[in-house]
Amino acid sequence: MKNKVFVTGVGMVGPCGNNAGAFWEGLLSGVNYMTPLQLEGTVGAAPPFAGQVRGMEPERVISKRLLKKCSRFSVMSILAAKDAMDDARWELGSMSRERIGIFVGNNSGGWESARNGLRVLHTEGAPFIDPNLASNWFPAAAQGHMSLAFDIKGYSKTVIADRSSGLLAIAYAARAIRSGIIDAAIVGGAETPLDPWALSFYNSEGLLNLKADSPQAAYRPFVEARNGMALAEGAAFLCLESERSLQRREASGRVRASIQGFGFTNDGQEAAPLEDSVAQCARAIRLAIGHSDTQPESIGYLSLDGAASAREDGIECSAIQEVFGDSAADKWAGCPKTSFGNTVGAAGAFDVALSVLAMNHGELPGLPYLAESVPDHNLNFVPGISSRIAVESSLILARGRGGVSSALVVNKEA
Amino acid sequence: MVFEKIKDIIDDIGIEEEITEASHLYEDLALDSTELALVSTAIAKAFGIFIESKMLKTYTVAQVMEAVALKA
Repeated sequence: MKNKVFVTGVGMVGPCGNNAGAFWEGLLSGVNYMTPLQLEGTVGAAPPFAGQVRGMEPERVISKRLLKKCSRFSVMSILAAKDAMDDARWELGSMSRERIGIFVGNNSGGWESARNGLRVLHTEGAPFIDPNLASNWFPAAAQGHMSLAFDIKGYSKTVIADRSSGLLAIAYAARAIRSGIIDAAIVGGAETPLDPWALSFYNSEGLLNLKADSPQAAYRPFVEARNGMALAEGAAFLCLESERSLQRREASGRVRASIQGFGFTNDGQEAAPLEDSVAQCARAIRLAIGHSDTQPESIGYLSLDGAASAREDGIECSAIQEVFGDSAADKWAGCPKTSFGNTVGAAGAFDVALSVLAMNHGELPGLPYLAESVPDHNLNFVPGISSRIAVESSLILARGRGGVSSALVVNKEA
Repeated sequence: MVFEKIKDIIDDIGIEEEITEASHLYEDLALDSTELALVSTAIAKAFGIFIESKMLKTYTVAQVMEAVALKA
């Protein structure tokens, strides 16, 4: 019999707040967290607004010695992970660190460190490049720094799959726990894309909104006025545990949710015909439901990727219609990241974390801009800032460059 | 003066142990390979002398001071 996987802690560092509680309150305050992005050398090549993290206090958690080694995304990862572990009441000293894994979704690593290293190379010479660059610029760096910060020694992985990275990291960690390789994992995603060099790469995909004239217009998927994504930096992490881990530390009361099935598909071709992309996205949803102890009719909340292009939004909506048919109208849809920006490799992790909190609080985040917009979809989006709606099961969708589709079902556990 | 500069360089890494002229960079202060490379780079900037990090691994603070003095 396969092991169940439970969510016992949620942690976040992001534009809405620097811990999960503050983030949730910030999100439901109705504030738009997109602020002017002022970076040198990016005129016309970077979104005018982005979700930016302010007021971090890393020295409260990270030693000066380790902090010196870390890129910004590693710092956010450690802070969000600590927040999640505090929420779960993990006492690492009484847990087997060799049976705890670290799974991180990330797309672009610490490019601000890499860019600075290149600057030094060309201005001062190779001997003067910060030696820490060797171990802090690449996506797996956060996993390593988290291991150093918490002395966690179990089976760990970093996943790179564009906007699906964070969701897949959670799915792969759940699989490792189910299979018995580890008993618990700290898992999620982190991204710091607000760097001139990183933005030049993200911009090449053509999905960024470079023309927004206000924060409210920066990120509006699923309506006619859409004009691309706004980006954000941040990290979201969850504590996942097996039933055995819960029993060992007598923590069954800490359960927030359970991880159910996941599905992952690829279009198999660059710029696939629309119907092929819809079919693969629908297949990912069916796989996720098929591997769950959940019936399709039990899913009450759909958390969407929301790339804010007509094609990408259309793929998601059509795939949902294909899978759920008329019953899609009975489900609530949302895309909370529209209030703070898309964190790319962390986006799936934020969406899972926020879905867990939404189910726990019985309140679903809405799309505040819907009232002043012309929707071009036929899903039942949560209106306004939020609505008091209790759901027992959520489906989280994430997509990515080159036709990646991933889906995860998460249930609220009584 | 030289000692203070070297101490500041090592302090900046975040070393909590007391730093004296007798402190071994590797055995006493437990600098890892990256931190030794950082010290090597910082000494090169501060004093114009390049000491390879694999040499620094065997040095005390006093030996670093001697190397700087020889260069001067």
